[in-house]
Amino acid sequence: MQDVLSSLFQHAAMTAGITVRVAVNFMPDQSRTDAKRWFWVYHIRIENRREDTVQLRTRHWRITDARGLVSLVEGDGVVGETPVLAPGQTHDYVSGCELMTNMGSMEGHYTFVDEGGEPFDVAIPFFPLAAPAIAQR
Amino acid sequence: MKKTAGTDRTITSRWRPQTRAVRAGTWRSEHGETSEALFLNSGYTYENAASVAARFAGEEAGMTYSRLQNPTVAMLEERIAAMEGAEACRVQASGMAAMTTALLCQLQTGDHVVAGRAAFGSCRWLVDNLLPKFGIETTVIDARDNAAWEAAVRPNTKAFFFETPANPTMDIVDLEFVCSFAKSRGITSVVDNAFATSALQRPMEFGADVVAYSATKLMDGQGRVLAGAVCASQDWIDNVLLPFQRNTGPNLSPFNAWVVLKGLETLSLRAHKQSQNALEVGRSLEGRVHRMLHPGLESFSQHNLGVRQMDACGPIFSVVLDGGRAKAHAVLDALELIDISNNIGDSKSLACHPASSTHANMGAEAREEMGVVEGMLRFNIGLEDPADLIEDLDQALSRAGL
Repeated sequence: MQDVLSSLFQHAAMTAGITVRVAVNFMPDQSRTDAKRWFWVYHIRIENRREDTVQLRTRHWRITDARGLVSLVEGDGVVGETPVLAPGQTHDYVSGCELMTNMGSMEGHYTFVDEGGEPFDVAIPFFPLAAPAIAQR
Repeated sequence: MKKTAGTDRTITSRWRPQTRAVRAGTWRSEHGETSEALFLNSGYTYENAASVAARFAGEEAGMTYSRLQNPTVAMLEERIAAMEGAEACRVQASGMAAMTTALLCQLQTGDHVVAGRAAFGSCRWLVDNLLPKFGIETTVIDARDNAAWEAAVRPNTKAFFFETPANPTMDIVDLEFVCSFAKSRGITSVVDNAFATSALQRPMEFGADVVAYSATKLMDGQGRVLAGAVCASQDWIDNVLLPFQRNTGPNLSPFNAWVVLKGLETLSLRAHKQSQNALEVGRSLEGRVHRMLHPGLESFSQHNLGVRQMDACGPIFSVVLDGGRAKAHAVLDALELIDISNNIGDSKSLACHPASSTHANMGAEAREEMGVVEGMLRFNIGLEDPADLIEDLDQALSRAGL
């Protein structure tokens, strides 16, 4: 099963018993390259491998484009939810990112709280955002 | 073609790759020569003293000294840049001059460099000996491991330096991950693309900042001259590389530039045909040797990554034989067609024993860590009929008892 997940999700990181997996795809139909808009969709799977229940409270993203420009994005929950994960439970969600360059990267962390209300950070693995080469071949 | 078309980026950027290889950078004199002119001159003359002053002040266009500019060299630089998809290129006297320039021009005491451990012996010497001598810290990692790049970064890391495919283990580095990670940390990625060239792999399409070459290899392609090249943004070339290169003078001779310029016209044809030959020859050896290292073969552990990044996997592969150095040397000595030579990229097929030649200066421990074992042979597959090469290898292996 782990091999299957590793092949479906190209990037993964584990922190404090929480595994975060990322699968990312460039979306040519939703991009407007003539207007310098490139769009990617990412699917994130969060797995609670701890023995206690945790809740995701906030997200923190660091997004870099091909020029090296960095954007920091923070907010409550993910796609409007602050999921609670029991031991062994997983949470999946899909979101998107638009850049003004044809490549870049994302990374960050979630802040969770445990059953005692203690906060802890969980890494979102670094992952590249790349569009297929547009040079004539 | 109109006289100025070859040097007009608004025109050449619309050309397809093979057209750029033949015509990008071409500048014709009033004679309208078909083949690019060879300007064998070291200096330039001026109409008057005011013109000298204006040219040195950058107020008048024109060349001042061949350490700084030369028409034939400029044509080569423009062609390499156009083929690479880079804004600018500068060439040097050799591949190692290119690597040294690409690194030293941007580093100072207190900086840190992360480098792939699988690299040409002299590149490892730069990283292990020259840079530390000037107080530049270096960390050498298994460049195939993306997590190793992440873990190696320090606050003072300024550059990532690696080659893919690597010499001679053919290690493939995940360009998309490593270059984007470098960008996210403000680190300059420097990629040695000699084993592939722009005909087969274009690191800037994956976000690489600087692409460096031994143009001696596939770009010349016929074992004639030494040359090197560094491609990057116009801003980096003008403000980081040129101040170093102009004042230290690792220049390429116009004659060598002319030879490489002509070589580029057939680079794609040669690179693809040699890749095809290497696959055919490599397949014939699978099962016959202890290990076969060629990204184009499905048996190679990084085959998927290699074919994703490269249009074709190149003319070079390595094999590991049972029996260590003695057996490897016996096979070399038994070859009747393939030359024993430590060069690569030639249209002639070549073979060498890296542990006792190209990587001899690294020391046994570093070689072992890199995977350059005593039984390894590295092959450059040329343009000969692959059937003749397969026959030669077959008889050489048999005579060596394999």
